Amino acid sequence: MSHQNAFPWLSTDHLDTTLAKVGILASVLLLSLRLFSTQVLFVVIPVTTGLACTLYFGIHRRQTTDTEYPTLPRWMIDVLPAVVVVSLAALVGTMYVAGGRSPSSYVLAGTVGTAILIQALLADESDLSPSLIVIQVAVSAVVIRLSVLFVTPGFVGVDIWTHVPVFIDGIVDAGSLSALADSKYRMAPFYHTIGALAALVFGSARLGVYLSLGVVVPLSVLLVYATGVMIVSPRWAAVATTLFAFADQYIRWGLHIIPTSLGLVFFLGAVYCVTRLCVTNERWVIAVLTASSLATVFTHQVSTVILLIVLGIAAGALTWARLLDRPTLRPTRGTVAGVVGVFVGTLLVTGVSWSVTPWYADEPFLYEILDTLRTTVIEEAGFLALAGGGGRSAGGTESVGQVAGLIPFLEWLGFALLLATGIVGGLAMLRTDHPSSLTVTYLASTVTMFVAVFGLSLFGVRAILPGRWMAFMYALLAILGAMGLANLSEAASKRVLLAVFVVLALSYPMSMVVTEKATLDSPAFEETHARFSYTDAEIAAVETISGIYPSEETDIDSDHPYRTVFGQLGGYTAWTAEVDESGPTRDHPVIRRVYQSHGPAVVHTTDPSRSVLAPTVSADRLCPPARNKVYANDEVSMCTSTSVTGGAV
Amino acid sequence: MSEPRGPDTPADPAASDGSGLAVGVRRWVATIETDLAAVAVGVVGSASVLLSGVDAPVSWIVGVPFLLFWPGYATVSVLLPMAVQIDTRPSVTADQAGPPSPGWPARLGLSLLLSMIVVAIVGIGIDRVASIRLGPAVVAISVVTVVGVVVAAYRRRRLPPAARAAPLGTGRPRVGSVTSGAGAVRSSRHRWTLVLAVVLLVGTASFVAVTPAYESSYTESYLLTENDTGSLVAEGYPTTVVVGESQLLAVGVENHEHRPITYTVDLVVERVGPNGSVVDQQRVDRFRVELAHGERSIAERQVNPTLEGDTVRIEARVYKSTTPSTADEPDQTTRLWIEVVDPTSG
Repeated sequence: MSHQNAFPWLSTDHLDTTLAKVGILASVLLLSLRLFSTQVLFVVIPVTTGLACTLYFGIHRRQTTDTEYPTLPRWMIDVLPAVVVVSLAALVGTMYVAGGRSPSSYVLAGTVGTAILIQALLADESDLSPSLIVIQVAVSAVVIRLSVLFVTPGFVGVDIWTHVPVFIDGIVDAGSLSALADSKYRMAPFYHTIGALAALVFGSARLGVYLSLGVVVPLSVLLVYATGVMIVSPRWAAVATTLFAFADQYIRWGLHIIPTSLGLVFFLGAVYCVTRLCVTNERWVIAVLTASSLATVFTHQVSTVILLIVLGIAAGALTWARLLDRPTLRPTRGTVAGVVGVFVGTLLVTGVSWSVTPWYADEPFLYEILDTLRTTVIEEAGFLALAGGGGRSAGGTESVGQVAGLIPFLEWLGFALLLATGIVGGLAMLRTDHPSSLTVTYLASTVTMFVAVFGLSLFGVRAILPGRWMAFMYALLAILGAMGLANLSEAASKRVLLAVFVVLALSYPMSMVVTEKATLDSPAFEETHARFSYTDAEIAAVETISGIYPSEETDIDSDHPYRTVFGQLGGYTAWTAEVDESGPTRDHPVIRRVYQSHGPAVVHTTDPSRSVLAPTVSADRLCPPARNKVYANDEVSMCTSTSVTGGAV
Repeated sequence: MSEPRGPDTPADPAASDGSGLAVGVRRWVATIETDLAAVAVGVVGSASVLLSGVDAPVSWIVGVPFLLFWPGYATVSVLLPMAVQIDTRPSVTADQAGPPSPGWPARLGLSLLLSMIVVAIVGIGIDRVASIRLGPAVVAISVVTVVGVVVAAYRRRRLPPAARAAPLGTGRPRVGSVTSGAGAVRSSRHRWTLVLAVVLLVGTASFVAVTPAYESSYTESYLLTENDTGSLVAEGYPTTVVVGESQLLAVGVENHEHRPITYTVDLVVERVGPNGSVVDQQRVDRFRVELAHGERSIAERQVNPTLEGDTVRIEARVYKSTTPSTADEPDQTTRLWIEVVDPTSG
């Protein structure tokens, strides 16, 4: 990098390889944290960082510039689109026959991802068809998500049970947004308004959400391609699109469709606009950026915070570049004013909106969230005060089976590959001639999100809901990852390239589609992760019990997560069941379900006080024979305390 | 955004020859922006269909683009009247000019995003002036979209014809202009393979969509008693019953087995000993309930237990058959603990 620009440290010769060396050293030091915690991430992140930095350092130390791109024969590339489509048809068919996802459906989904990645990575330039790849990605994304949604009774996830049956149905029933008046969505009604209008068009709130937001969320991957193609060639933009489409966190928000999902769509639009403004000057982009940013504010609070961070960094980077960059690289005054204006405007609108948004307490949302953050930082935070806020954890409740210890590593493999390619891409971005504002925006935003997700969790700061940030971070990581692969393709030997591409194509999709968050409806590792969807009988139990057992200010106990449905759909004050040696410790009615005998749902014990997996607690401890059993279906029963037996016979 | 002002008349030579009404119509048709016309026709047609109250799958087919695509596409067309420029450079850098006009993936992605924003704003607007109902929603979205189409057409016509966005061309559709970069499936054998695969996927998805999904089979049963207001609820059960006095108990049964079932319900009273063993047992009632799938029945029964004791339970044993034997395990059991007292004894 020879030219002078606004960020002298970026112009330092060999900054990328210097940082790669620092990364290798840091990864070794970070690995020592494993001694203090069993968190699998203390292995995954350092090892991934170390390998990525070593790979980057190694290929850029090569003296030869002899690179040959590995390709597959044309006939293989030509047949892969048909393989993708046939696999999708088989996926739909098997899910229909099985009534849900099964091991074969995970294999088929992974096969689809692999077949697409192979086309993007290993096609000769003359055989490459990026638009055909993007079409396959978009169709796959929609089919994989909608097939799950339509074969799963009720909804997938936790919060959606409030958003759809309570808020959206409430809006439809009342014919107004008054259903949101007392919620934190009073000033963020976009998701629910769209859901309500779609419910009117399609006849039910569930169908409305699935056929509107359920389609838009996976198709928003087009924005990743549109963003990527501005800074890398179409091949690598297609790779970025595929990486993001098969990322577990992105799949997650396509299954559990809540305001976060719509916030992610608007965020992708904003990233597209910011990227475009870093390389061009167009007023229409400012208009779309303004619309996306304000739409995010009026949709979801966490998404707003993430967007503000990216906007703030972009505004700062563009301003700095305007003041200090060389004339040919300077963004125009209009662009800088536009982005700064959008950032300041979004910040102001957010402040005003949050100051009149009700939350659980009497104080407005803005005050409450600041107070929560202050309390968290001052009173709860501490080094290694972990709770798995960054996602999948290795510990927590008791595990069923020895294999459980290996599962987190399998699940984090996809993330590790994404992170590794992203690190290579980040280092490569320092070497290439992208506008410095673009480089700073991407790198600083990704690093900030990474710190928010993993760094703050390390200190026990989880009030910012770090798990929600991951899909947003993945979008930037996917684009950086594509840059990294593009860089490798220009510098690495054919053998290294082939190894990287094969590992990525074979491992990434398969690992991502079986993670906990990508399989909320039917976990691939069903003895380790609880199912966050419910059978017809389980849903019927909630509906019937709430009809025959008054729910107003009534407590009820069950396992987690089943209790959440009783809280959200049933209207109860729902608790995780707590038992001692003799039975339930409280007089609340207890809901027992068959799933508690074999699934990793969670209940509490008092001897000692901890969360345990439900299969470790016998049915008679949760619902002792001395209790009344007043409701039963083939999978669920409800038992209530009685003064007749006093809990024992 | 600076846009060169262009002629309002088309460059199509077909539009400049001939005379009379047919030629005039042809000339007028040739000036129509086909994609915008398609959106206008699509949104008006969709609105008519939706307001006529059709059911799925027609409402799905017209409703999805109506909500997700038409409004945003009209808005994108307003913002981007210029033609797509194909960029084949490997990377756009600051040393080069900015990227070309957004391609169709970007326009499609932005159409979806802006559709969401337009629909949300329309919904909030309706909430301010009327009720959020199907009629106002469909009409408002249609109006906003058509206005967008008109503005987009006006902005396009301010550009030279060659510079205008025209994914489907004008007058006669030229689908290739949208999909020219998307094909690249070279041999006819592979093309036909892909077509067959797509037909298979569409066929499978269609079959699954129109065929009832798998639903599990189950039966619900519950015990109810009357509360102060006369409603049957699952709380406030009697705890003490006097021998000789009957007690109202309601047994609810719901059939979700996807077939008609005649259930047999036995009401059994059991006296339980200190170690949990059954000391005495008495069947006090048996009745049958015939239910089709989805039906429920709440049978109110007068129970008159005669087994005296302080740990007596009444069980409602539900069998999914008409003639269960005493050896058969009930399919479902609910129970109620009571104390049965005999005021005449001791």
